Amino acid sequence: MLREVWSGSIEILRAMWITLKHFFRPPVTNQYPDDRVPVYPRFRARHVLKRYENGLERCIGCSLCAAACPTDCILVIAAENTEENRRSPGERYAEVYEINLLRCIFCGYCAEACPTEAIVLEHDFELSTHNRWDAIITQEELLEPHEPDYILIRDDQVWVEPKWGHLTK
Amino acid sequence: MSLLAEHVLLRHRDVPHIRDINVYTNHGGYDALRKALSDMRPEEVTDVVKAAGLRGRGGAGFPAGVKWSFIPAGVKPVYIVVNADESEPGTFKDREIIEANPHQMIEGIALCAYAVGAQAAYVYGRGEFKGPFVGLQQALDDAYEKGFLGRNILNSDFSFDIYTHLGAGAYICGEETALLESLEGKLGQPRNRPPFPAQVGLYNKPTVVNNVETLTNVPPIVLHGAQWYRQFGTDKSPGTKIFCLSGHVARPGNYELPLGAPLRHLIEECGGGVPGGRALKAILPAGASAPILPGPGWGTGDILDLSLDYESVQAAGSMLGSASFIVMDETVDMVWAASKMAHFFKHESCGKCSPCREGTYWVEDVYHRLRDGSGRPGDVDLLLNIADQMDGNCFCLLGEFSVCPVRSSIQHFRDEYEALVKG
Amino acid sequence: MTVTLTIDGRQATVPKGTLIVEAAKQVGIEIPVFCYHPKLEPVGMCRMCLVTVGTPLVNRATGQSQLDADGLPIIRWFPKPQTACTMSVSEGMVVITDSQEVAADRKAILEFLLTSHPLDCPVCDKGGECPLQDLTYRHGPGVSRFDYDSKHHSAKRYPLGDLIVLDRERCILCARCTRFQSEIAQDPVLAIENRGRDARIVSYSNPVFDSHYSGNTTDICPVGALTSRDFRFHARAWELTNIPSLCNHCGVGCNTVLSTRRGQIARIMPRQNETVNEVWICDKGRFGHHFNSSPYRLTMPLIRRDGELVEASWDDALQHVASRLTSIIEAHGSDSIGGIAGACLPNEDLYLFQKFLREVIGTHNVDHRVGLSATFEDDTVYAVGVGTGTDLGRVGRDTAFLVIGSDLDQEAPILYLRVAGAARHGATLITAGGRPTKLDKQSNHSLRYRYGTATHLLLGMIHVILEANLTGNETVPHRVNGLNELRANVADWAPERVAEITGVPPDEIRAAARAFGEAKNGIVLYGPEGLGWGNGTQGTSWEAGSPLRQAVANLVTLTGFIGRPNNGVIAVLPHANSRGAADLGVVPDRLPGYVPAERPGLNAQEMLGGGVRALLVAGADPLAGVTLADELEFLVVQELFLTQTAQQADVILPAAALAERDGTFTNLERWVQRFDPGLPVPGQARPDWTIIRQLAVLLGADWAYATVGGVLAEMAQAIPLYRGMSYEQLSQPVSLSRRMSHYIYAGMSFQAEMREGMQWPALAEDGSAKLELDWLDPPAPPAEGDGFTLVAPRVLYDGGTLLGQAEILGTRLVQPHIALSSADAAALGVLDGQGLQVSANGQSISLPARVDGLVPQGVVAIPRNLKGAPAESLLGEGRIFSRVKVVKG
Repeated sequence: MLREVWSGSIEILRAMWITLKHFFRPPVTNQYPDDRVPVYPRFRARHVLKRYENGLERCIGCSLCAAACPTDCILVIAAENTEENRRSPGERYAEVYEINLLRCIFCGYCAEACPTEAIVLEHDFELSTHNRWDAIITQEELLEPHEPDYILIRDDQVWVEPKWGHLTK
Repeated sequence: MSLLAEHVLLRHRDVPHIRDINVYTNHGGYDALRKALSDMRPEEVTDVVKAAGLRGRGGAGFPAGVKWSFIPAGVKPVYIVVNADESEPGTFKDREIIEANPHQMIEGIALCAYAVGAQAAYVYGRGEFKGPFVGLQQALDDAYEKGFLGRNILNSDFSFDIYTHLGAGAYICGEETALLESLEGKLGQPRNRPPFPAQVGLYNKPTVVNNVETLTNVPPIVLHGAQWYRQFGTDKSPGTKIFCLSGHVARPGNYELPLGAPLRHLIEECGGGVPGGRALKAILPAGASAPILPGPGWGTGDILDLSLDYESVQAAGSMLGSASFIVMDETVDMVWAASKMAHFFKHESCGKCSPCREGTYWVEDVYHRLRDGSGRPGDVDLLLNIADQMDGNCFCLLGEFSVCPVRSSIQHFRDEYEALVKG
Repeated sequence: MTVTLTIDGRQATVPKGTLIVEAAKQVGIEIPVFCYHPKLEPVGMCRMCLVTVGTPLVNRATGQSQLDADGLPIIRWFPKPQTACTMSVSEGMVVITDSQEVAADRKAILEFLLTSHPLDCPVCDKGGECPLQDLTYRHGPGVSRFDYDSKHHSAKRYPLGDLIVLDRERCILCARCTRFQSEIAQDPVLAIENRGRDARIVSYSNPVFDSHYSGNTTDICPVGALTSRDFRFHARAWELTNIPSLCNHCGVGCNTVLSTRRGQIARIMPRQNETVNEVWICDKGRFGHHFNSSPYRLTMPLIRRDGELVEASWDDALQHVASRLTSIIEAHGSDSIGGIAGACLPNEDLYLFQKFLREVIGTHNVDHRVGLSATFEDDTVYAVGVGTGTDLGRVGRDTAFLVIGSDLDQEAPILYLRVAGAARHGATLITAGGRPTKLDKQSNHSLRYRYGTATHLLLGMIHVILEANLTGNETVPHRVNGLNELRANVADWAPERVAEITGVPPDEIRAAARAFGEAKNGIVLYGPEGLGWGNGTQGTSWEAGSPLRQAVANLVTLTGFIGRPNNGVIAVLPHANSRGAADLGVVPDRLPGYVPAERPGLNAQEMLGGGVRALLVAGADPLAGVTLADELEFLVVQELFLTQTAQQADVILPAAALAERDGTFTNLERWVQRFDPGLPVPGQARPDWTIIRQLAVLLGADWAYATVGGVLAEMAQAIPLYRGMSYEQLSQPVSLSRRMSHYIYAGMSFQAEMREGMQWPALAEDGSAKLELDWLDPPAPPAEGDGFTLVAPRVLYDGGTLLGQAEILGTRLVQPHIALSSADAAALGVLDGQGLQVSANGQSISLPARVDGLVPQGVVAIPRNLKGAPAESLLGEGRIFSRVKVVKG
């Protein structure tokens, strides 16, 4: 009986010692949003529409992402590039590109289906919105920003002058 | 030097100025036509040509008399089309006939017309024959003036006209149905066969299509008879034939020999042999359209013993075709030679059927690679495989023949190919 | 005559002359093809259909096939594979399509085709419905051994005219397009130029790709080389919803597919119907759909208040109409109300429209003959229309066509294709007209009469046929009354006398009449250019055309070309449902089913001229260029657009367009066909029939139609002609064997189910019906004299309300002009584009001149139904020609 009380007390003390020990350790809680946890490289969150180095959109408006999408949350309406308005190489570009993030299950099939690696699931997971309409993200929001220094379009070919270096095709 | 006492086709070599109609008539010219119109019925003309065993000299070697007999009776009009679209590399025999001995051809056309009951003949020449056709037109005008052509020829009730037409310079228009399309003013692409031109030819009417040289053979046959003609040549390939000799020989040119003459005679006696004592490496017996025959050091047996008739050349693994012999000596890079022919076929493919249009383009591309020094392992097998994929699948013989130089050059000279492939 | 052959061990018994590829289809074996198309002559270019073929070795002496030791016939195999698309079957033939050799050949051909193909399937409009893509998946290699960098590059976006774009990299040079243009469309404006890998499709016509049928080439293109400017990049094939529909631009009744995406028409494609349009439609039907999504569509009811049209609710608008109609009836009686319905409305709407006026209002003041319909409406077809089962696509040598007064290429393009196709297959074709038309190129006899003498020409032909005793022996003695009277009447019309009047040489009249009379089957197509002669003083235009109609009816009746398939009359009526409007009694003097009305009402001209106080107009624009009669107090218009008539209306009720609703049309050959709804209705627009039903209910009628099908069911009971028709039956898919089995063979007409309509029988098909040969004196031939004959032909791309919205057709839309021969232009001293002043009936207008080689001397032509209606304003409603003065200026 006494033996049991003794061993019980030891256990309690040991547990309290652990508690006491942690009491002086630094906290593990991240102070989000001030303090952000890095995500893994293959983490899949909000989509981004990529560009080529010269600033042209990679997306050719082929709708294969929409075809692959299991929740049918992507809308693509394509149009034809003209000399005056060239948005992508080749003939076709996406005039409208919208994703309904309320429906999206972030499966990544769209990126899988994309023939030009234009749509990629990247690391922005901060997707809360104030109303449901804002959950439909448009092309402007999806496209990665690009501010070319200087672009010259000549005879179907696009030449880019970066900040440093030479004019490249 | 010649195996013939007297030329049958290249008569201008025996009789100077025979292209002048007076000289021609003084030397028995148009006697055959006169004989046929006065003494023979049309079927008899066909029969004598059949009996003489005259085979088409355009390349296929189809018996001319048999072809004529396919013309259905009772369908009018019947046309004759003379194939003077001589485009095979290394072939220049029709040109010499048209330039130097045109009346014999004209007489042959007229005899053919009489035999099949045609009202008109069209001589279709390649675009580059502009010069020769000026002389041909002069000869035709002379023949009209003398009454050998036109209405009521030689006071018989046989009337017949010959027109000339120049193509725009396409190899494919030497194929008889493409020639007919071109003559009708359409894109020069071959037609489906059957129906054959003998049933549905020019303007959907029965048509005889014969080569210049074939028809040039006809007047002597009609004049002297089948038996006389059969004294030349072999039993299955009777008659004489013009051999166009070019390449690495001392004296290139046209040589008329009886069929069955040995190749050694053509190259060494007529052509004066390979100059500089260099070794004979390869022979193209029918321009680009037949497998290459390797020379004594590269193949089995002595190629020079080959007998020049349709059957023997076929047995040796090639074709006599239009008998345009291109001789290549030991200095020739066979991959280069084959790539030239590949380029030729790519350039001349009409584009109608996909295996030929795309296959010739592809083959040339691989040759470019090999000759650029960027050949890859497997390229030789790739060439053979493309050739297999084309063989038997093309619309007409152009595509089928285009694989001949590829296959035969690889077969006999594979080491030269392998040397170009980077290991 | 059939032959039996074995394909992959399966026995097939097919008619002699069948191609191997077709025989294989019949036993369920699909041989892949690219260049082969069932409607085109085979060429064997693509080599995709290579198969191994053998024929039994035949003993020449006995004619029996030789047998081997097992008693099986010895097969002699062709040394090379043969193209299944060019080779006809023969008795005992053995075909192998499933061997390794054949598979290797297919793989080889696909590898060759893909060496130069850009493989840009993700951006290609054909992707997803592409024969090349699908056959590559099925038979092709997975990878190419061809160097990517060596690909042959050529133009990616070559505009082949302003409707079609050619991608030369995708083109596999199958020549389907060039062959379609030269064989089927008879517009050989496409060709291949250059050779080998540089071969390419070009058009040298001016304007480029000048054809009414150019869109069909995009359907039959087996790759994405030809795309239409209209559809280019607008949707992927799998995103489309395909709805079976009908074309509403002419009376042929082409079956179409509406491919819609997001509530808009992405494209219109043909839907296979072998008895109507085969697998073709014209460019008007394909590109003329833009009116559906026009921003100018009416979407709300409008009521005129204080001179202004203001939006109102349906309840208010309908209530307003009902109360005004009631008060006018009370004040002036039922006959003070009239109705004009357009012949573009579906059958059910037309039926309810006339029923509304006849039964609810109580008047026969109903008509549809305004605009293009004013020229002619037809009742000959009721008695002697082409027999049920007629298939113009299958008639051959034993049939003769007489096309009189019709430019089929402009008036009914697909009918043109079919008649020209019949001529190509050996049918005898006689064309008669005041000017040369495109069909003349195919015709065996081409008769050129002076305008206004078409009837005289027919009387001359009847004279020759009676003289030569070419009358139909089976029908005429038993079933026809009045032959002797007719014989006496045409005795005066010997070809020599007719020649003096018509200007057609007597020999040509004789030859043509004999050719027609001696044929086994005869079909007469008559169009508007033989009708409507007059100077506006002698009765209605409708009456002016009666002698010609009677002569046409007499011609087919006495030759016995009646009551059988491929025999009879086709009237080339202008609108999608002109036939239905005539059938359903939308005329003042006939009830539905060609029953004469006891007390005929007012016709359209009389109503518009002030005969009524209230007028209901549905789907028509009768007041274009006309001012409202003073007597008219109240005008109600049901319309899609604010037309000139609608602008003058007191109440405008917005209507749904064809693509937004369902219903049935009756085509020229009397096929009743159903179309389905494919688009949402814009705003508050409603189908016309529901508007009429609601009005009827408000006026106290007990109408309880819930669906269009219900209306058709009543029609099927009430009208003997439509007996047996049911809405369900009209949407039954046609059995598989009648369809082109796969789009690889046929272009893309497979996309919505093939349906067949139901054809009502002509009176002559009832063997006991007696037929009358009535006599009407031909109209006095137009007096020769000073000035010109003004003709108003119909043109395909006119200035109609719907077509005007199709901006894509651009310069093809015909602008007002006056066409004249070069000789006349020289005499008048005008050049192309200079002004000409035309005056007639006290009217005078000025138009730019267009020198046209097809206009005969002494004739000037102003097409009908152009913007501003210049021809109609000179000639009066429904007239086709008149004498006019033409001066420069």
